[in-house]
Amino acid sequence: MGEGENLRFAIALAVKDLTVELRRAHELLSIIAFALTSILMSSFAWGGLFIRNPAVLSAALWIVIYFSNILALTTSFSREVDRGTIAGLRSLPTSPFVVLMGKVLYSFVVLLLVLLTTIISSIIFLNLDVAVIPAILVLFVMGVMDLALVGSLVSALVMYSEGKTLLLSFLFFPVSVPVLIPSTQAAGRILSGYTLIEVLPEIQLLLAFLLAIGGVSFLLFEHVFQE
Amino acid sequence: MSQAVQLRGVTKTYDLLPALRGIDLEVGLGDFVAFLGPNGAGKSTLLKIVAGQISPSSGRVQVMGSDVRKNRERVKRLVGLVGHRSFMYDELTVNENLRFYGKFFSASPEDLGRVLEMTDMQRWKNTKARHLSFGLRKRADIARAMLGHPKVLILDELFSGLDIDASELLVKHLKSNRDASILISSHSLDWAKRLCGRGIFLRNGRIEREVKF
Repeated sequence: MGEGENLRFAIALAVKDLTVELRRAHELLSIIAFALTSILMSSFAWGGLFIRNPAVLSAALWIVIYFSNILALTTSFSREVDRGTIAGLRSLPTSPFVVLMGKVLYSFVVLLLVLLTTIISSIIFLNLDVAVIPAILVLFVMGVMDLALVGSLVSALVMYSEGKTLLLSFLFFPVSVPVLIPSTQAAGRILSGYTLIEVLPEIQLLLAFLLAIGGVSFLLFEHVFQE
Repeated sequence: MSQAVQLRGVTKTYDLLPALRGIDLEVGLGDFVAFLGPNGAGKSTLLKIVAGQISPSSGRVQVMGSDVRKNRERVKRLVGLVGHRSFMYDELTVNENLRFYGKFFSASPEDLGRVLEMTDMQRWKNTKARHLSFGLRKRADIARAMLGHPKVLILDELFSGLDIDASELLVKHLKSNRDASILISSHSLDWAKRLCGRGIFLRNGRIEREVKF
């Protein structure tokens, strides 16, 4: 089976998930609403602080993205198990890794929506400098890709557990730390006026983490996916 | 090749609890076989192993000559599986569900039409799965399982939860399709007799006896 066909299958899985979620729009909307209200409340409480200390703004933005990801992940593999459709995914004549990639794509698109909401509302309510947007977007898209992959993997690991929602929240944090530390530091620097080139080491770190976790998933996901 | 499914010394253990203990079995091409027995006898486990959903702890399983462990993707192309729970997504229509699953089996629009006609589901093709009755959902699931022209159709707990009319209809539809071997699990001996030519009684993970209907 070719790589093109695998990509087509992964896209088909992601489109299916997005269609299902858009038809139960309340969950997707609640994630967007969470991002928006978080930015609004941050603006009310710490508006002046953000201007004086870009590191605080960076942390606030990543907290919104991180918790939005947890909300999105509760609808990933866990719901397939709850509804019995996980057996349908397991019956597909494709590699389990392709199924994981479908879920990663879905999470990535949801997080991109959250990211856009966060960035636009930050421009309006937190006086985010428009000049830093391109660099911030590159960094956040990279970090969001990492979080989508790690999150989908953790979601799959806990999918058969009884307390999967609780476990997901607890397990997701330690494995996200290698993403969150360089991301928050790099975002803080970009917001302080550094260029994208100056935060290249952090971006390379995020890319290396993505490749490492991707490699591990490729080798091990079949065992996770089996009942 | 005269065998659609072949099992040799198949065992399966869940957390030290044996679910299957040394199953040897052959199912011929075009045969309709029913697995019968009490809850926990190992019927569903056996069917899941043949479908490539779970791996046996030991032993060898072949579907159309392909080893389930070594050629899992190929076996999944050869097998159509209808589980005890539906694989249909509530928010999608029957047609959308079929199109989604069909992409993985290179199903053409003609294939979609064929399976809808075969299961008499054309009227409900634009209905969301959540609005289907249990019997209609089962038929939609069978349509989905037939999309890839399976050589082996596996139907777990086929008649459970179905009323007489729905069961009659299912038997009629399945009997009209002689292209695939059919393996079902059932608690109902009567319905199993009406569909299948052979019954295999399982108890405590072993084949207790085998009968011709």
